[in-house]
Amino acid sequence: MWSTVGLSSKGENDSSKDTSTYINKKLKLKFTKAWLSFLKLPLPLDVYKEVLASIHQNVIPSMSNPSILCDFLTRSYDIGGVISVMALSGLFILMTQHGLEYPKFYEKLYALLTPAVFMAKHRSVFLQLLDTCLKSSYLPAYLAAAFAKRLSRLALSVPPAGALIIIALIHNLLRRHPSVNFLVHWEVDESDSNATREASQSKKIGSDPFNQNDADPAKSGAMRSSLWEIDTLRHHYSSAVSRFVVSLEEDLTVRAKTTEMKITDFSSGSYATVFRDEVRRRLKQVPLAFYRTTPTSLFLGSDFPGWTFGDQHNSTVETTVEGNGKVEAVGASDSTPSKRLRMET
Amino acid sequence: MAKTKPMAAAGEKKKSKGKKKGKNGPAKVAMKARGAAAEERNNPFEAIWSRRKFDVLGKKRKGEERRVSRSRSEAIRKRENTLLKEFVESAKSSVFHDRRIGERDDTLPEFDKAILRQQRERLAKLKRESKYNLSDDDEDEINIHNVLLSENDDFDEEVPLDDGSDEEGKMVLSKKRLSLQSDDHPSITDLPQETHGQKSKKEVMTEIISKSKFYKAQRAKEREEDEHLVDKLDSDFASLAQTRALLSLTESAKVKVNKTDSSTGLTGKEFSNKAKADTYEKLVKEMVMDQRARPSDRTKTPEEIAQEEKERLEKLEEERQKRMLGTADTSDEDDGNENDNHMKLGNSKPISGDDLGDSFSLDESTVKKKGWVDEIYEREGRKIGDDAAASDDGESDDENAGDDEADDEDSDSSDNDFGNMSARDWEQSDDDEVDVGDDEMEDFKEKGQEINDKVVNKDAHNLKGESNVKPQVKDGSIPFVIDAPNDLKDLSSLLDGRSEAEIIEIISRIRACNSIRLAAENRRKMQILWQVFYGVLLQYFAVLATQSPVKFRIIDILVKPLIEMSGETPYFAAICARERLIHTRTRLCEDIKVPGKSSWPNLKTLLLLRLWSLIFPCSDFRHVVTTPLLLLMCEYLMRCPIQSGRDVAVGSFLSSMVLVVTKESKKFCPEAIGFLQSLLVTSLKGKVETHLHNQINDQFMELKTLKLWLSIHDHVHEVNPVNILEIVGMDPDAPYFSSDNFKAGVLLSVAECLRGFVIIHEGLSSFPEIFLPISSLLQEILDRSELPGSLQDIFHEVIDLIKKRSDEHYASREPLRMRKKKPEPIKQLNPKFEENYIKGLDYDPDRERAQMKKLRKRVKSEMKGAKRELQKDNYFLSAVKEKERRKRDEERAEMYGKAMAFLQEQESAFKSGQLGKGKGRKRMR
Repeated sequence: MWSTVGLSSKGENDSSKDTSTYINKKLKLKFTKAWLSFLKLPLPLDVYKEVLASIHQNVIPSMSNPSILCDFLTRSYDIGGVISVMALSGLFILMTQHGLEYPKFYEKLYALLTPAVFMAKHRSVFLQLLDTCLKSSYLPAYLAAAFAKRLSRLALSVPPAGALIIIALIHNLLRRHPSVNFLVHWEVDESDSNATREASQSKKIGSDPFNQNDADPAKSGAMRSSLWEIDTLRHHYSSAVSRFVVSLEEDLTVRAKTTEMKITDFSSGSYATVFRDEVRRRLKQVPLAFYRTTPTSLFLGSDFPGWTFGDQHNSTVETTVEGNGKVEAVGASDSTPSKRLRMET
Repeated sequence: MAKTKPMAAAGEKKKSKGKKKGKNGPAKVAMKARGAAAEERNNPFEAIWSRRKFDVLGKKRKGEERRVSRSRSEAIRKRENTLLKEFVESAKSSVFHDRRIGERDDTLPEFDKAILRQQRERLAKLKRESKYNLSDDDEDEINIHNVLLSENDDFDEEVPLDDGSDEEGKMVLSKKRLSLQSDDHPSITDLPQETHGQKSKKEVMTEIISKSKFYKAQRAKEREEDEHLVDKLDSDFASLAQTRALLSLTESAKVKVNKTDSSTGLTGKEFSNKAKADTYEKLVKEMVMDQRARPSDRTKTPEEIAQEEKERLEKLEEERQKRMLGTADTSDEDDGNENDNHMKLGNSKPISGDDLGDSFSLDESTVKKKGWVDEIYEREGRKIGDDAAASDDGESDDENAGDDEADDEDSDSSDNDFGNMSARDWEQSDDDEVDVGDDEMEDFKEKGQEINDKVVNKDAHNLKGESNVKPQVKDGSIPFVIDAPNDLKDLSSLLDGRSEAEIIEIISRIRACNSIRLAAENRRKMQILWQVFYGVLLQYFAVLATQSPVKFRIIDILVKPLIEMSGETPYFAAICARERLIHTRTRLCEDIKVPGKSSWPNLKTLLLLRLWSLIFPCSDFRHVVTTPLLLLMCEYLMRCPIQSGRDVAVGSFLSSMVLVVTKESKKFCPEAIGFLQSLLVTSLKGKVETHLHNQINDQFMELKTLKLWLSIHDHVHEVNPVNILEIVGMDPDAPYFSSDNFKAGVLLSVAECLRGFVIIHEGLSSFPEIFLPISSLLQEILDRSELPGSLQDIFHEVIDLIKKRSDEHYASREPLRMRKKKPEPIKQLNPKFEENYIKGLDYDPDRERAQMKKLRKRVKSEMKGAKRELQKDNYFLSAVKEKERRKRDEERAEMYGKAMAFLQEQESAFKSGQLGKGKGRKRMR
C-alpha cells in the first residue's frame, strides 16, 4: 500500500532532468513527505502493525531525514504490548545510526518483557534486537542483573522454544557482564565475617528479593537475587531445554574459553521446530514400559483424580462421598506408580 | 714407550688371533698382509695417548679415552682421501671414474676385492645361459673320487703288505670288490652301514625302490598272518557256540532285547532256535537296532512354545471341523469352506518364502464358488505373484532390513514402504469412518511404489475376505486358527458383533497363530504380517473411538494385546506412534488457523495419547515417542483457545494426563500449570484484582478468550467427578456445560491436578515463584465465590500445601553456587632436593623445556665442531699448497742451479780458452 504510494510519488518526479544525485534527493524528499502525511492519518490497527513491521526495512533507508520518524516511533514504542515490540526495530535503527537519544529506553525495554512476547508473531526480530541492545559492556550491572532475572522468571511460563532463547540470552548476559555472575554463583567468603548478620537474616535467605512487577529495573532487587529459575529449568520436560541449561554452568567469566550464543539460532524457534527436532531423531532403540501386570484398562481412576471413565450405557453416578474419599486416598498415596522398571529392547 | 709397545703388539696379536678363529685358509694370509700394512702405517707416537706418568688409584682424568694424536692422523688421512682428491681434481676438466668391483669402497682391502670379483664371476656362471654349457664340475668330482680311491688303495694295500699271505689278500680283494659293489648297488642289509656322505643319484633311487619293495613284502606277510588268525578264531567260535555255556549267555541277552524292544521279539525267538554260526552277526545287528541313550527333554525355547501353541490350536481346529462334518449337515457351503480352509492350512503349514504373498488369503473354495470372474482374477494374481516371487523376496528383504536395523531412518523415506503403507493405511481410513471401499481405492493410488501384483493379490484377498465374512458370522463360533487380518475390513468383520470374551479369544488366537517366533527361517515375512496386524489393530482401536456410541469396553480390551504386541515389534510401534503424532500435530496447526473451530483433541486422539503413554515409558529423559507426545500435549494446552465448556473439560483432562505422564520423572511442565491457572481465573467473578493480575501470566489472557467458564452461580451441594469420555462426544453448546454441576466437577479436577503438580514439583528450587500466585488465586476464589463444601476443603488443602512447601523453600533455599572452583594449591618456595643427584642430568620438570635445552646445546656443539673442521680443512689445504709451492721452488732452484752450473762451466771454459778454436786445438793436441 505505502510502497505503491511511494512508487507513485517517485513516478511524478521523473520529469525533472538534473543530475542523478539531485533527482535522488528530490525523490527522497517527496518520499519522506508522502510518508509523513500518510503516518499522520489515523491508521487502523492491522495497517499500523504492518507499517511497523516493514518500516525499518523499506522506509527508513530511503528517507532523506529518518530522524523525522522518531516522533512516530517513540509514540508507538510507548503504547506497549506487541506494538512497542514491533516499533523497537525502527527505533533501534534511529538510535544506532541517526543519533537519536531515547530517555529511559532500557526501562521501556524491560517493561516489554512479558510472556506474550515469546508467543508473538514477530518475536524473532525483537529477540535479536534485545540481544543487540544488551550487547554493550557499559551497561550498569543492576540493569543486566534485572534483565537476566526477569528473563529467567519468564522462562517459568513460556513454551520450550522460548525457554531456549532465554537461556541463550542469559548466557550472553553473564558472559558480557562478569559483574552479574553473582546471579549464578554467590560468593560465601563474606559469610564468615558477617556470620552474625546472616544469622539474623537466616529466615529470609530463601526468599527471592526480586520483584517481578516493578517496572523500574533499578528497584527490582535483582542485585540481591539468584537465578533459581535456571536450576528449575533443569527439570524441564523438554530434553532440549534441560540439556541446554547445563551450558550456563561453565564459568562464563573466562571469556577465552567461552563463546557467545548466536541468538539467531534460537530466535525463530517454536513448538514446530522443537517438535520436528524430536521427531526427526533417529530411532536407535525403543524402550518400552514394563509392567508387572499389563494394564487392562486405558484409564485407571487412581491415575486421574477428579475424573470418571464410566461407560455411557452404564449408570455410573457414584456418590460424592465415595468419589472424594477415593480421590483423597489416592492423592495421599499416589507415589506408588504401577510402572517400575524399564525394559530395554 | 717401552712399556706400551709390547702391549700394543700383544693387542695386535690378539686381534689377529680372534680373526683367525672366524676365518680360515686364505683369509689368514690376507689378515697377515693387512696387519703388516697397518703396522707399517702406524706412527709410533700414536701408540701413546696418555700423558700421565704415575697411576693414581681411583682418579679419573678427562680426555683419557681419546687418542689425540691418532685421531689427528686419522683426520689427516681422511682429508687426503677426500679433500685432497677434490683439490687435485679441481684444476682438471676430465674425471676418471674407477668402476671396477670394490674399487669404490676404500675400506676394502685388496684381497676382499678379489673375493668379490670371484663371486661375481661364479654368479655369472650359474646363470641360465651357462646351464647347458659343459660344466667343469665333473673334473672336480673325479678328482675327489680319485683321491678317495687312492686313499682306499693305500689303506688296502698296506694290509697285504703287512700279512703277505695270499688268502688274506684274496679275501681283502674280494672284500674290496664287495664294498665296491655295494657302492654301486647297495643292498638292504647294509643300509645302516652306509655312512659315507657322497652318493650318486642313481644310488639313492635304487635305495628307495628296494626299501619300498621290502616294506610291501612285509605288509603282505602280515596280512596273511592276520587272515590265518581270523580263520582260526572263527573255527574256535563255531565250536564254542555249540557249547552250553554260550547258549545260555545268548539266551539272556535275547530276553533283554525283548524287554526293551517288543517288535524284535519274534525274530529273536526264531533266532534263538537257529543259533547257528550266524547268531553272532544277528546279535550284533540286534544291538545296533537297540535304543540309544537319549538326552532328557530340555527346556523349551520361546519359539518352540509358540510352535506348540500353534499346533495345539490347529489340532483343536481340526477336531472342531471334524465334529462339524459329523454333526452339521445343514450348511454345506460352510463345510466345504471349512474343509478347504483346513486343507489349505495343511498345505501352507510349512510356509515357504514364495507362497507367503497368498498364504494368508482366506478360503479359496469360496472364491471358486463365487464365480469364474473371481477365479480368473485370483489365478492371475497368483500367476503374477509367482512370477514376481523372486523380486518380491528381495523387496521384502529390503523392507525388513529397513524395519530391523534401520527402523530409525525417517519413516517417510520411501524404501521403508511397508511400514509406511500400513501406517498410512490406518492413518487415513479411521478419519473418514470405515469406508473400506474408498480406502482400498486410495490404497490403489497410493501404493504406486508397490508392485502391481501385490495390489492385485491384496484386492483378491479383500474380495475373499468379504465373501468369507458371512459364514463366519452366521456360524457364530470362533475358528481356532485365524489368519492375521491384513486390513481393517477383515478385522472388523471378525470382531464386529462379538462379545467381549470372544474378542479377547479371537485376538489371542490370532496372536498365537501368527507369532513372529513361529517362523524362524522366515522371520522377516512373519514380522511383516505381524506388523500389518498390529497396524490394523491400532486402526481398529482408533476407529472404535470415533464411533458413536463409543464402546469403551472393547477399547479397554484392546489395550492389553496392543501393549503386549508392541513389546514384540517395538520399532514398528514407535514408527506408528510417531507418524500418528506428526499427523495429529499438522492437523492441530491447520485447526488453529481456522477461527471458531475447536482445535482441542478429539476423543480418538485423547485415547491414543493415553495408549502411547501406557506403551512407552514416560520417565525417560528423551524417548522417541513420549518426548514428542508430551510436547504435543503441552502445545495443545498452550495454543488452543478455549471456546466452549467442552474445551475447558478437555483441556483440564489433558493437563491431568500431563500430570500422569510427568509424575515419575517429575519433569516441569510450565504449560500445564499455566493452563490450570488461567482456568482458575475463569472461575473468578468480576474483575481480577490488580495485585493478583500482576502475578498471573497475561499471556493466557490474550490467547484464551476469557469468559467465565467456571464461575459457579448457585450453590452446589454435590460435586461429581466429570465423566470425560462422555463429555468429549457431546455437542460444545450443550446446556450441560453451563450447568453448575459441570463447573464444580471441572474445578474439582483442576484442584486435584494442581495438587498433583504441587506434590511432584516440590523439589524445584523456584517452587514459590511458580505456585504462590496460584495459591493467592485460589484464596481469592474461595473468598469471592461460594463453592460447595467438599471443593472448598480441597482448595484449602492445596493452599496449605503450597504454603507449607514454599515456607520450607524459603527456609532452606540458598543462592546458587554453580561455579565451584577447585581450591588451588599455594605456591611453595621450599628448596627441592634430589636424592641421588647426578651431575649433567636435567632435572627440569618441564619436559619440553629440558628437551629444547638439550637440542640447543647440541646445535652449539655441532656448530663448533663444524667450524673446527673447516678451520682444519683450511690448514690442510694451505699445507698442501705450501708443499706444492715448495716443491715448485725447489724444482726451479734446481733448474736454475743446473743452468747456472752450465753457464759457469761455459764461462770458465771460455775464459780458459778452451772454447772455440781451442777445442779443435785441444783435440788436435
